[in-house]
Amino acid sequence: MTAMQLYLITAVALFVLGLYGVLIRPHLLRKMTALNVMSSGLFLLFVAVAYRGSAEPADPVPHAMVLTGIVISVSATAFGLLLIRRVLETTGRAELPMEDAGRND
Amino acid sequence: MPATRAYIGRVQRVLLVLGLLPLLATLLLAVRSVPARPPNLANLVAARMHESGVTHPLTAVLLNFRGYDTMLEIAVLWLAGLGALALAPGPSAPRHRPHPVLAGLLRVLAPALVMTAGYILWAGGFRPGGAFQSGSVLGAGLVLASLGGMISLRPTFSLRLGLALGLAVFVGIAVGSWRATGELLHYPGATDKFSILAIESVAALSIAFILLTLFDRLTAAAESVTKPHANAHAATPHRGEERS
Repeated sequence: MTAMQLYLITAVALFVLGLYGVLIRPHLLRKMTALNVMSSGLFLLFVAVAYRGSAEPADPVPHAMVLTGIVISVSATAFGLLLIRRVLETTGRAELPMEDAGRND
Repeated sequence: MPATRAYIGRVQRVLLVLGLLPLLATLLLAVRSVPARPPNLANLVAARMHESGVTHPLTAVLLNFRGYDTMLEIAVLWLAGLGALALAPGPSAPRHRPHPVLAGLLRVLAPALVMTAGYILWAGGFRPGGAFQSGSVLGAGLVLASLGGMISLRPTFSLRLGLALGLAVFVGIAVGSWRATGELLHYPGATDKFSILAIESVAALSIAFILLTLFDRLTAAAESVTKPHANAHAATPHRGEERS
């Protein structure tokens, strides 16, 4: 297995783990962190594809896409945190409500 | 079934894992199909870099060959800043006396950060750097000043103008180049170096202010939900920020 394949598998694992975390965690801040883990997986994927060793120059197009992705991830995280703040201010908690087996909402 | 209080019950959790396993398998199969030596676009970029106005392949890709993506990226960042002003309209922490250690540190750091940001912006033409990197260095300086109580943000018109200016200049140059050459973001003739520099400098400032706004709005005092937006009648509507 080459180094690139190892990075790609790690990237996929990060992505799926992050997705699991987003779906599983009721606390909104943890959802946000899991979303960031997913983004990190994607960035690792792009960087692994862009790197070509020390002899050849790195591929600039996926490289540039990662930079764009990082900025967008920052914007989305900041906006998500603001939404979490609003939820906290409005409802008093930053968690999604627990569910009872008998409730109808 | 007993009424268990849980966000996701045990059965649903197992089902979720079982549902994610095919996704994991598919993605792993997909990355196995990436060839060992993927085609390298660096040669294509190097062949056309003399037309791009800069000498670094990454800046050429970001600001020229795929400038459209960068324009939309700045739009996303601006939208986040706008959303910050909309979602958290509470008053920001007032200016206060900074801690003396922080004040001393800032006295040394602030000029260094400004100069570093300026250098990184200029160096983007021939080394890794450019608008976003320099904007974030400048934004970090502004955030430090905000933490130290030296800056208190008020969401006035000039702040909003500063946030939008980066995107506005980019779109203006895009439309201008469209009118001049018939293609969006195809910089006419020999103006590419100048256009890229103009876009990058204004964008760096806007990015710094957007990052400051995002940080400031996240830490602003909570406003009561029933009180109407109180900052529309700020005392000095002409200045977006105060500086010591």
